[in-house]
Amino acid sequence: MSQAAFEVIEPGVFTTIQDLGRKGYFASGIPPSGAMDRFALRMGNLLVKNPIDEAGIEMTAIGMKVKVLKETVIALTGADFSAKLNGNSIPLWQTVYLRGGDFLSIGKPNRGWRGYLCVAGGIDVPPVLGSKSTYTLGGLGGIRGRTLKKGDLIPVGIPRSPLDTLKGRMVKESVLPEAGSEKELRVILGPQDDHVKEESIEVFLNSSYKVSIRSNRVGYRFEGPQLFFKERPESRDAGLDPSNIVDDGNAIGAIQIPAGKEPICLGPDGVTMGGYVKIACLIAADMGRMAQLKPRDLIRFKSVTVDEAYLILKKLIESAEEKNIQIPKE
Amino acid sequence: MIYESPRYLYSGDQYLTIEIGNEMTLEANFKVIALDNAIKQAKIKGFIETFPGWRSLLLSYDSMVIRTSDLISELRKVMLQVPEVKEVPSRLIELPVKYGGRWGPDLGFIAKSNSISPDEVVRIHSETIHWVGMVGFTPGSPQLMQLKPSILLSVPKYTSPRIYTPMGTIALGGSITAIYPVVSPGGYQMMGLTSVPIYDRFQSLSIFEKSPVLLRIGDRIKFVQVDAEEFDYIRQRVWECSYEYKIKQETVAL
Repeated sequence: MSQAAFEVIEPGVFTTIQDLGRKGYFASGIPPSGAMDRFALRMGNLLVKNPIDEAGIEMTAIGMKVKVLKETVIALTGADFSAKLNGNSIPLWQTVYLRGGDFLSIGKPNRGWRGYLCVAGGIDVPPVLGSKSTYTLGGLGGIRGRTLKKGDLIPVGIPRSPLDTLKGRMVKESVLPEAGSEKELRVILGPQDDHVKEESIEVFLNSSYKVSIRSNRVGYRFEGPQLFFKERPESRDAGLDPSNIVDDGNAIGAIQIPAGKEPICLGPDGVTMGGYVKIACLIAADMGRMAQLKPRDLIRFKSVTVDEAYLILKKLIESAEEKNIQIPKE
Repeated sequence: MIYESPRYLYSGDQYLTIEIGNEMTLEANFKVIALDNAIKQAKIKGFIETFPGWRSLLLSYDSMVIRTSDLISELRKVMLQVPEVKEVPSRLIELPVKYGGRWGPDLGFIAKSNSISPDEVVRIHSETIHWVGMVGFTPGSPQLMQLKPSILLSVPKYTSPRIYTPMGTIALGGSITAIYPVVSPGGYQMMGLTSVPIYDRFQSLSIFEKSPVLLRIGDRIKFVQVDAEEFDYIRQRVWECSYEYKIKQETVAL
């Protein structure tokens, strides 16, 4: 039997339970969901010796305040929310020991936008369609398919390792995301870049874009220059605007450009299909970078090949391994 | 048109789009369904899932298990063996609908756009069998094509999408009917409301035992007009979890 380890005093803005997402329901219109910054979740799980795909808590823009109900060990990763335990600062990317009666306050991010809390034993909610991830639009996963709210009791599973073996574990600095790296989002052109004028592809790849305030897990919107489309023959099924196509499936990370304005890059809760040209798709490794962008940040899109994307992702996944956890010397 | 050979388009490094053609036709949809079955049976390593659509298929894969170029060569092999499909299994599902009034406030506009009366719109829409060509956008939302309608109903979409569409709304945009499974924004013209769920996140009705989504590509829908009283009665049955969907297993030929 799992026990509640936390009571939510203040939930923050958009706080959800997420693991690495749901597979097998894309054809039913249910996107994978899951942690937007997967590296941060994986690292958090590693620190507390959970399976790497265990569920943690994702916080956006404002963290939560919780009362600790029992002895446990957590790790905070991702954005730096200047978290405090009973009023004292606690570190990021390392384990923190908590006692019943403690008060954990996770404030506002001074760097990044999404923070993760992983706890030894994992968040113990029942998987829905194979995943604990919360998908709020469909009301699936997490706690009743919604964001956390005041008064929620968060159940935690049984730790895999004794809590005292988790003491002092921290991520090696060499594998932490570089400061400023989020300013560049790497994309692979396609599937419909051939609908866009060559000059506009250049504009897309060489302009500075501003993150819109209307960005969330469904999609990030970017304000930037107008893009133009090639002439195309009239289509019975595609709609009148040249940014329309006959509806097709949207990859997670696909960048739609409705009317050539405001590219929308779909996040883990993205709509599964649509009728807009997708000029490019974000590489999987950079979804975590996008997750850390806050409104009004400036970014650029950089084009890479699938082979480059492979190497980037391989390196990222291989960095989230036990060899990159620093263990305190006895 | 349907292309001579399919196009393989990068959709990032974890998804691949396989495009069969550039139009919404039953023929293209049949090809996608055949391809979908063949890909699933091929058990390519690293393959995760497919999302078959009107004229293309989105495939997700694990690039750490199979490199994109290898995946494409595997798919080319599969493609050579996809049988010509003239017939597909298809469920015929009845959905009760209350048309017009507060259940479908844009019915009058649809009638005007087609230069017929609202009653005629309802008659044509509920007589015509609808084909599920794709499911998505929101959980379980189908896009439906009219099969051999006596008059093809067509209407412009909203120029600026409304922010609220009631759950269960049946709406027309162009000549495509959509059903809104959850409250969401929308741009299609609202013609009616169905009293039964097509998405049940609690999976409480027995039909949803295996999946919270009722519809899939290749299903057909028959909308059955009901009055307000029947509408409420059926909804009551849904709440009591005693409603039984009317479903027939059939096959459909091109």
